[in-house]
Amino acid sequence: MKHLIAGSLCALALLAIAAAAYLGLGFMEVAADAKPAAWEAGLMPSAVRASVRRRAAAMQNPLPHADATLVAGGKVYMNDCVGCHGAPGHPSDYGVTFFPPAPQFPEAGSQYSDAERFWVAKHGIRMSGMYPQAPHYSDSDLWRLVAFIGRIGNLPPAVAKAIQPPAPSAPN
Amino acid sequence: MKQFILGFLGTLVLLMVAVFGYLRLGAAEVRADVPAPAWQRRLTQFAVHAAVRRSAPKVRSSLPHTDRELIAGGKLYLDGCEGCHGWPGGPRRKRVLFSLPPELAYVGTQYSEPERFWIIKHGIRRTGMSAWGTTYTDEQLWTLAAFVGRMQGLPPSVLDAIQPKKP
Repeated sequence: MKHLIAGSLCALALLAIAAAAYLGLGFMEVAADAKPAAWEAGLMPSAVRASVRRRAAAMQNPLPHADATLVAGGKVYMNDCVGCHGAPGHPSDYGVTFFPPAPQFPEAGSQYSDAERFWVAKHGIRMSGMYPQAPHYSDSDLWRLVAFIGRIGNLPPAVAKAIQPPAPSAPN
Repeated sequence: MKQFILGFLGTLVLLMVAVFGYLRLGAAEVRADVPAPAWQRRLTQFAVHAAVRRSAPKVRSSLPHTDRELIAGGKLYLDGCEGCHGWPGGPRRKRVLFSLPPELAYVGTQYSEPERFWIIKHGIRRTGMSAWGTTYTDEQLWTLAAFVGRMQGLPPSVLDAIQPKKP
């Protein structure tokens, strides 16, 4: 038993020393334009997804499923999100220069529900370029926005027309 | 000895399972507007700093240190960096973010010019700092790196030349 505990403590001490050396000697990869290791690319996005699913409240979008909702959300999107997340038909060159890269909603769609998107937009995602929108937009604006993102790959033609212009794809 | 090895390997396996479970079950905090504990912020900054020191080129800028270069860098800064990193005399931020972009005009920078060049070119992963190497030439990146180093003590004439006062 004594030896079991000694082995366990030894493992913990070694790990702590290895972690301190790895971080302190600068071996951690920090370049945003370097390709992530396969384990990192597999594990980290799923950890974020799992955390969002666990924490976001199971709410329904309180707004009606109407074109007016989509148009209002689309205007917010074209104003503030398009720079990183891309416009329909125009992926953002800027968004992919982040690590993790900003998801390109018009092509890739979104894997979250309205309530989960609402939560992400409101609070942001730690250790990414996604900053919280709560100081800038009301809850109703965010609900409009997430409804729009949910339909962004498949917009009614009238909505797609109503949100143009402006359609700048420049940074910021 | 058998017990020792069992304790050693058992601990490693348990830790791996714990980390995997922590991540997979969604226990990690992902909200950017929840302040991170101080130890986490300090440890991250320390590790990033060490990694930049190790990775950045050991070359110096070949550009002359003149107002002309400073103004050119300042114009790039105003265009692409000011939104997150602020401007001399501009408003301070009240946002709580993880990770928070440094307000360069107020806190300055702890990195050397070649290190700043490297950071702007490659970005910093797991932060909002994107890689600008595909947008700007190396020469433009050097003017930016020089400008950021001088931001806290810019001559008014340079500031004026970068951003003409609105009538």
